[in-house]
Amino acid sequence: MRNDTRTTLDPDMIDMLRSSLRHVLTDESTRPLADRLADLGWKEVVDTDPATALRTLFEIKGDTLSGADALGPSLASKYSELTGASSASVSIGRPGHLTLVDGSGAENEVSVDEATWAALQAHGRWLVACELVGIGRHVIASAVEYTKDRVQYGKPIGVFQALQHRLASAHAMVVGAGHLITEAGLDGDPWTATVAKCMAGQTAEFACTQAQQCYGAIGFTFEHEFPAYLRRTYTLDRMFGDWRTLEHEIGSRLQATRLVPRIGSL
Amino acid sequence: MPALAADTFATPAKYAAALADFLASDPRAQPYVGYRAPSLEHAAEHLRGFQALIFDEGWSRLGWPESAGGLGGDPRFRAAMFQTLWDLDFQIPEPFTTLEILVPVLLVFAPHLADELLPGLLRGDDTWAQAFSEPDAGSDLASLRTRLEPDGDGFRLYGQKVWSTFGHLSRRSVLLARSGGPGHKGLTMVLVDLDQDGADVRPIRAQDGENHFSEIFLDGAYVPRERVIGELGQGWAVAMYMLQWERGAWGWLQQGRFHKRLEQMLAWAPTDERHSASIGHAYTLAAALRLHTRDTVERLAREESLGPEVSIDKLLLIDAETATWNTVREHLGGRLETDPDFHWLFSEYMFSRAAPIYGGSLEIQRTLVAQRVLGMPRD
Repeated sequence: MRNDTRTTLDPDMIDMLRSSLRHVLTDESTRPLADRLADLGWKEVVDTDPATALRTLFEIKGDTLSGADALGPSLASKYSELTGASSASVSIGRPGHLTLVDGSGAENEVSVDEATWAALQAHGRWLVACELVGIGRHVIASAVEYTKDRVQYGKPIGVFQALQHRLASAHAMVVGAGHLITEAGLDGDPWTATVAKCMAGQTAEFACTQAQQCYGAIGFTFEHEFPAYLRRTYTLDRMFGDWRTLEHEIGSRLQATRLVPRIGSL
Repeated sequence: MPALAADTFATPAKYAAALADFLASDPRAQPYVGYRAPSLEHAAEHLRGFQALIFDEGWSRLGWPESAGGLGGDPRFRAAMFQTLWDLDFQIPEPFTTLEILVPVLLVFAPHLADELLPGLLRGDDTWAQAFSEPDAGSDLASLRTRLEPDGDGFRLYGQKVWSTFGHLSRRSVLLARSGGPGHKGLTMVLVDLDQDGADVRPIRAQDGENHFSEIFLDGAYVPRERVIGELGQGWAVAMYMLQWERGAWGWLQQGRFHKRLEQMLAWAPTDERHSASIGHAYTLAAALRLHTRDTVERLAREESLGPEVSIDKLLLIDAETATWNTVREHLGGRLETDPDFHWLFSEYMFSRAAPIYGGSLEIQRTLVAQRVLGMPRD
């Protein structure tokens, strides 16, 4: 995976990590995710390369459609990093407000300063963007497999340019989004996280549309895996600003400042 | 004597900062700031002075090997130069595009030609074109028919090339011809001098009104043996090697343009809330292109061999180019098409419509990604 060149973890380590995360995120255990991750030696991985670790976790979450609550605890870690205060889970409310959840499940609404709130929103945008990219990759890969198996007119339907072009253009967007989430993880800049989320949202939505078309009617059934990925795409896109709203926000910021930031440098 | 040496700048970023200082303060650079080309020919003539200046002062020599007249350093320095030129509103002389695509090929397949010819090319004293496509061989390039026939110590070319960028302003051209049997195995890459009997170059006026490309009629044009690039019959491999440079370097150069044009557009027309989504859309795609092509440039700098995934560079480029120019047109309104002060920009807009066509069409790139990257089945 090209994007993984910006990591300090070696490739074998990343492969092992992906495998283990896949297990952890899909097992039926009721133990908190934090405990199951601790069993993997997660802390050490995060300490070595937090950007790659978290990005990988959330991409696989998207890929597997895992329902594990990773976001709340991740925001809590970030909150702790920013303020020193600990919490089991954090959710983001209206600007300046957070809800902290402690180990027993008790909730407590708190006010934080603008900068802290913005940093947490950026973190949330980034993580959800990673999950959206995981979904995008998955639906494309699954559709590719389907087009190899489904035969019509005496050929696997994947030979037809119409379908090849749909999935190829979706793949290009996923690659582009992959670079943005990687950069957002490395620079920690709320602006980059916003652009990453914007790209990830439209990428996942586009990938789903193209995959849906490749599947035809069978992908339209509730029991097929595809509709679940589509629903999750919509849910994730809505979190911390859907991509259409973010396009407005990004454009408005450029218009107001007349500055066009160059994300990433040589 | 150039003031620069390969070890003067530890990083492309430091080099970029030093170049920016030079361009901002040196009086010889001032005639070129904010230059708006009234025509392609005017730009070619005017910018030769700029190309010579940055060569003589050493700036454009970084990123090329010393053996070929460069000052050492990897391709990221060249990428940093392009970025700096865009940021400071300098038009990039057209020959640099050609250099990015053709010189790496020479360095690998014909280093003797690189050593001999690169300094003149880099300075702008010599200009080159590329000649691959033919009237009957566009997307299906391997079916090309121009013949390379042995003649004494060299060869002669017979046939016709088309879409040769900058052909009518070029002294020589890199050219792909058929030296053997049919298909891609019978092809050879050569460097042919265009200022000889047997080579007739005729410009073609493009959609934007400019003579971007030419036809080249070849009727016995001579190619000395030492001007063969690579081996006889190795032409296709040479062309494939060239592609990764075309996709990567050009993509990085273009993202510099898109970011700059978005910035300029905001200054040239009043802001309107209705345009914010389209601006955000173009910016997001330009950012994705920037990060992707930065990755490509860095891989090329590490001398990695890039595979079929370079087609993704082209797809991201097309998306970003289309969105950027659509936004520019939307934002400027009718002034783009009618205001004489924007004539140069409208030309650039009209040329941008070719992005999904040249260098391997959008459709070809999608098919390559589908089959060779995604592994979709072939008919």
